[in-house]
Amino acid sequence: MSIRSRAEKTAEQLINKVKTNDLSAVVNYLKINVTKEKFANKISGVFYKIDEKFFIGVNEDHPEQRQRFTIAHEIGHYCLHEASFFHYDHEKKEGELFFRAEDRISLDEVEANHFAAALLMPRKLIEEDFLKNQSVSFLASKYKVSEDAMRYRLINLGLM
Amino acid sequence: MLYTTTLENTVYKLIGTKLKKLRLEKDLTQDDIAQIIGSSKASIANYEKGDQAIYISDLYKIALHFNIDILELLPRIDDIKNQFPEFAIPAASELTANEKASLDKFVKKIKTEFEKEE
Repeated sequence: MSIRSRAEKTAEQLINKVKTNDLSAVVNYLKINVTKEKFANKISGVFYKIDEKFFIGVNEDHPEQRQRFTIAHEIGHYCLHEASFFHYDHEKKEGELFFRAEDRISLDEVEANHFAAALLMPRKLIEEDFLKNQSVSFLASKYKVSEDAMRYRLINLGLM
Repeated sequence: MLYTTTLENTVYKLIGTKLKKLRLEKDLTQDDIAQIIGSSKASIANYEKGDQAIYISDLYKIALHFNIDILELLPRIDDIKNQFPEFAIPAASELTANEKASLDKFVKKIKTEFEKEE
């Protein structure tokens, strides 16, 4: 299974379990403690596990939509890469993919991004809404994501 | 089926989107573009949908006609990488001292709170 379809499937299963894709509901369901932090600018978020407790730190200086994407991305690490211990998410510059230093991890980062897109913009809901309104900016604001994130999602779903 | 995308159809689809956008900006019909290229309206429709692989010479004809750079008709490599993460070569990066410090601080804070609860 490709990493994209694994990420998509995992996000769908999570939404089915929680019965919503509301980010705070998902976080509560998973008992993850999310806090806003003062990170260096390029650090978007951190996923940290100690004993059986899980923490996500998100850069409070980043725009709201980006913080939501970061949280969803870190939940992706929780759901997909529970074996990995520490995820530093470090962005090279605006508009580029998240990456980490080691090659092995970079695919995890990509997978977590696909997961985040699938969690914030569930396929079924997007397909329904797209029939009613094809405006990227409208859909982006409805789903509280950036227009870029929405555009990539629409392309990935074969709608654009 | 979630993903049936191939690199090939993604590339032509993205080019098609650019062609269509350009045509609409110039307020032209598919017939007009067909005349510029010297092909049929059906071909232009297929080009715009990405259903037909466009000749590179046709891209040049369009670029020459509108006096634009050929690159404006081609998808950006980042857009392709987004579709095909396997092509996204990871850049090796080290955390700067400042970045590492902010992460260490976070971990320390959690550990402190965690110990308090024990």
